[in-house]
Amino acid sequence: MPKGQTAVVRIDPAVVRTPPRGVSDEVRHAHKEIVPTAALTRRGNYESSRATTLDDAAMKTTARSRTHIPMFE
Amino acid sequence: MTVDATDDALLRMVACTLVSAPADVDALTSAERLIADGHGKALLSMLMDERKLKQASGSNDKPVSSSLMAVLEQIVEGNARVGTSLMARLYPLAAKLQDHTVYNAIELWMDHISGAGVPEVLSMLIREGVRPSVRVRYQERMRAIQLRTLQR
Repeated sequence: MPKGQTAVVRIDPAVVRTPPRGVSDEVRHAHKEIVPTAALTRRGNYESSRATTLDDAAMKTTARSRTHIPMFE
Repeated sequence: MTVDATDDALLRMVACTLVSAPADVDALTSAERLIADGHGKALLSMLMDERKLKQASGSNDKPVSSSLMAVLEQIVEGNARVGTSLMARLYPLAAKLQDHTVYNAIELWMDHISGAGVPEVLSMLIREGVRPSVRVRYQERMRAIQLRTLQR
């Protein structure tokens, strides 16, 4: 990772909707992102809009369904 | 945009109704009129207040943006224009609050939503003068929604 940038992997629980709508956040999933190191708080969090979103192969993408990487047990 | 006493009372009543009954047709119609009259920001703020009050009386410890999002998802099913407008206003707030789940959920909704009048709702927000980074995202979403609406 180039200096000044931080690689982030964020794991989110499934979003529960009743009834389910079949969208990609309804299963446990991960996000792979790149965030400017300067944008990180002391606790390691950051404003969502500062992140460059990646797909599972770590390629840049703005397709939201591809940024939700499903995790299956 | 100033809010007079009558508007304020109406805003509060509509917000209170939508938090309890997001599919209420009369409340959605009033909400659409209030948004068209430039009170969208105040309406979102009152919805957040109502949600906070409701949370304070229960045992829900989710961030207010998360519990409001559940309401907005039901609103968008009843009236896509009202739901889109309110979600789009929540979008930069969720970013600031570092509520990634809501931020990502709004993006997923924006990737699927279509319908008459929906792009115009985003166009109205752009004209209100938002941060350049938010404007770019609204514009991207607006174009995608226009395309999907035409293809329907």
